[in-house]
Amino acid sequence: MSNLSRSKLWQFSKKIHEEIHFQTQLATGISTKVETIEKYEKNLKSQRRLALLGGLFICYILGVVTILPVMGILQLFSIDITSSNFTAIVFTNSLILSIYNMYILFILFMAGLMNYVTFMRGDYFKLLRPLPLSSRDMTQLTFYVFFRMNAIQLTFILFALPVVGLILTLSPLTFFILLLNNLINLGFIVPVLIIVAWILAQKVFNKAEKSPIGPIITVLTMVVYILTVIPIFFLMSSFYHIINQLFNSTLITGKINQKINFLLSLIPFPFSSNYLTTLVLLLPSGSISFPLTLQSVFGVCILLSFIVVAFRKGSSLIQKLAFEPAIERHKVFSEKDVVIQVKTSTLVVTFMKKTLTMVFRDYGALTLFVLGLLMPLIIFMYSFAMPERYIGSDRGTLWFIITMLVFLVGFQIFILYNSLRLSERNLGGLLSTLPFKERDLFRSKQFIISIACLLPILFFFLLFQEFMTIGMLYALIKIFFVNIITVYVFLILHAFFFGKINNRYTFTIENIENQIRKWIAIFVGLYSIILGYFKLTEIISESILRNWEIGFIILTGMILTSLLELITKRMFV
Amino acid sequence: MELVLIVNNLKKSFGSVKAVDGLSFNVKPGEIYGLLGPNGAGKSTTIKSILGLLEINSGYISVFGDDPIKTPSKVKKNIGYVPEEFSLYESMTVAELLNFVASLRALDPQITSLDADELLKSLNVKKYYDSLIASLSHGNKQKIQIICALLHRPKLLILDEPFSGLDARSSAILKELFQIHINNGGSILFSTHIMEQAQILCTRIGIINQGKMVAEGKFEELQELAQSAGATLEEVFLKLTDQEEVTNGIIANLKRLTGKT
Repeated sequence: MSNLSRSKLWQFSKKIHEEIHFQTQLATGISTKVETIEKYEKNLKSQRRLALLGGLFICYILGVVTILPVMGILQLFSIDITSSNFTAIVFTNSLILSIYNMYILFILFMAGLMNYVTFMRGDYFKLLRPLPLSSRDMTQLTFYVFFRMNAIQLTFILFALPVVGLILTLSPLTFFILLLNNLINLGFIVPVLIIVAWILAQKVFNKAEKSPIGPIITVLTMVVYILTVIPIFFLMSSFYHIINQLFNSTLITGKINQKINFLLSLIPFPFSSNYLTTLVLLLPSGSISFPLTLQSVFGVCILLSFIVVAFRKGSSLIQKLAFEPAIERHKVFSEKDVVIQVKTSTLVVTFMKKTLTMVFRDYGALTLFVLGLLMPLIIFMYSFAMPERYIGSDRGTLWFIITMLVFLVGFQIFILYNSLRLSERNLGGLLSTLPFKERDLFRSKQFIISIACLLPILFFFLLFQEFMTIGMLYALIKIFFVNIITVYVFLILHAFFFGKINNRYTFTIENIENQIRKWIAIFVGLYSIILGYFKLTEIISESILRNWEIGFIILTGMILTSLLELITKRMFV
Repeated sequence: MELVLIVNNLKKSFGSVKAVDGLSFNVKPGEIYGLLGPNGAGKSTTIKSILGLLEINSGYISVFGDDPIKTPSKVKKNIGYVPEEFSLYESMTVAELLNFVASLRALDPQITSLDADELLKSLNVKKYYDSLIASLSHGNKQKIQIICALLHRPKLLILDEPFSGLDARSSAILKELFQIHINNGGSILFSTHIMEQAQILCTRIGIINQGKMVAEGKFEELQELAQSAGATLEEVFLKLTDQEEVTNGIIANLKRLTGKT
């Protein structure tokens, strides 16, 4: 079998890379399958640009993180190094570089998780496997695709810090040392990413899809993923604050036990190479510690051996993608012990069960659902991680959270609804052929979204009830009604704009024409209601019914809810 | 005798494309009506319109006297539908899907359990009861679709390419199920590409092309219409849809092509 030229293979790899991007969008995007396909058909170039923008966005995040070691290098070159502060300087700078490398590992993995997992499932090579490509071609093609997926990010990581270091210090030595350090660390990070993505793709997601108990694994993975990836961006500022303090305090007091340096420099990743880098960067100042340098070199040697092992393992896994996986031992099915017992339930419960089952078995939909559910909790975490100067006091923090909850509710509903929508990509299929009342489908969606929105508020209330003032309690009651009302309004407007067919309103068929305009109209409607309700209760309770504020809040909420219920009954028959 | 289904002067366009253009036909009680036509003839659009899944441009449809546009839920109660493309919730197990369909149709759990047991056994998929639908083969998914459509013992079965992907045993059983359904007083409307199936099964056949009814009647009547006594339904079909010459030309070209290699 003849081998293809590298340039030809490189061209092929572009197509596969685009396919991976497309499939990832299908699996995780907010758009339904039909919408995504339509978008691709309309403008392939803009979709390619979108893939590029994705890479650039990760670079932006990486760029923010790069400020961390740049700060370290700046301090390193601006401080007088003496025998008394040498240990402290080595410690702080090595620590900063190590944290930087951990961040890179983390960001690369989290930001690209879906792409990596999609790639490592190997589905895109199915089409190529029967074609007359040699095994060398297939292996090379797989590597090229992997490189295309990461080219922008990896190039950025490799050169960003060395170039900034060169600009700041005008020292080619700094450039080369930092470049070498990045190469060593990336040499470790990349194979680790490949191995973890393989485990996730083959052992978690592939198995989860084939098994009814898969949801548990999927849910756990997704919760960990979202809980880890989102707060990281918010908590970044707090970390900078802590590291800055650490740097200053260690330099002022010089109190770092030498034993810590000796211990850390022996840990191959992420410390050894960063200790060695710091020690080499400090060479021009004339300060050196031979035992520490020797230990770091030893640690780097161990790291290099790890890299060789990880690289071999990673390569073999990538190569595996190019070939048909070994046929799994199929379960032998028997109808002997199968007892057929059809169970029925009320329509609303049936719809809720179906929707939740489908959301929990679709990792794209589940990601959105967990994100929607955790959104307010992320705001809590963010608020408490923020330095006091931004908020002022505990009470200030609580008010900040309450304001954010009001602001978030529309987006939260949007995300939760789209998660349900994403799980029903075959919309208009089976469901639209069955007889049911649209109102029951409405009710099931309403219950799921409302409960998901109200759970974090309940959690918030239970956690902070000691610190609550009466004003805050009123605000939370308002938020409760805002949630109920907003879910009503959202579903009514969505059916009104998207689901009109044969003079009826439905959730099973969507008219996606002019959808941007429709979404804008929905959001304008939502926020008008939210702000209108807040303003109305505020004006009346402050001017007319000061002593009856709580009663008025509840009364207004109930009147609005009843009105919306009436509209629902008329719209959904 | 009240007609089961009436389609009168049905018109449906997608943009400038006329998918169905003034189509009329009806299905009588106890009848198997076959809708034949080349790809893109408008068969699936017609079927979807009957179920009220599409907004039609004009025309009249009645299923047991009910209008699928005005009372879709009532119409769907009487129909069991097997679509051409899979419309199953693949992340559900077979058991979960049957529970879902039974709940939506408000069926009696005990009777439905017995019916489901029988159908699953007959089509040889009982062993997959607790398996995810996504993990089933093409043919087994088709069987599950058929079971879902039969679960409520519908008066009218509408099947779009029901034999696609079925093995010989299941095809034979499905044909038998058709007969049982008819003997129990039911009616069937189905579209197919497999001419032999239509020839054997159908009481009447409607041949449509470019959204219009080209010919309609019993198989013998169609043979007469095509002036091809003794011809198979495939030959009649090609003649009536003006595809005979084109098909013969293509076959001749292919023979030349394969002759070269």
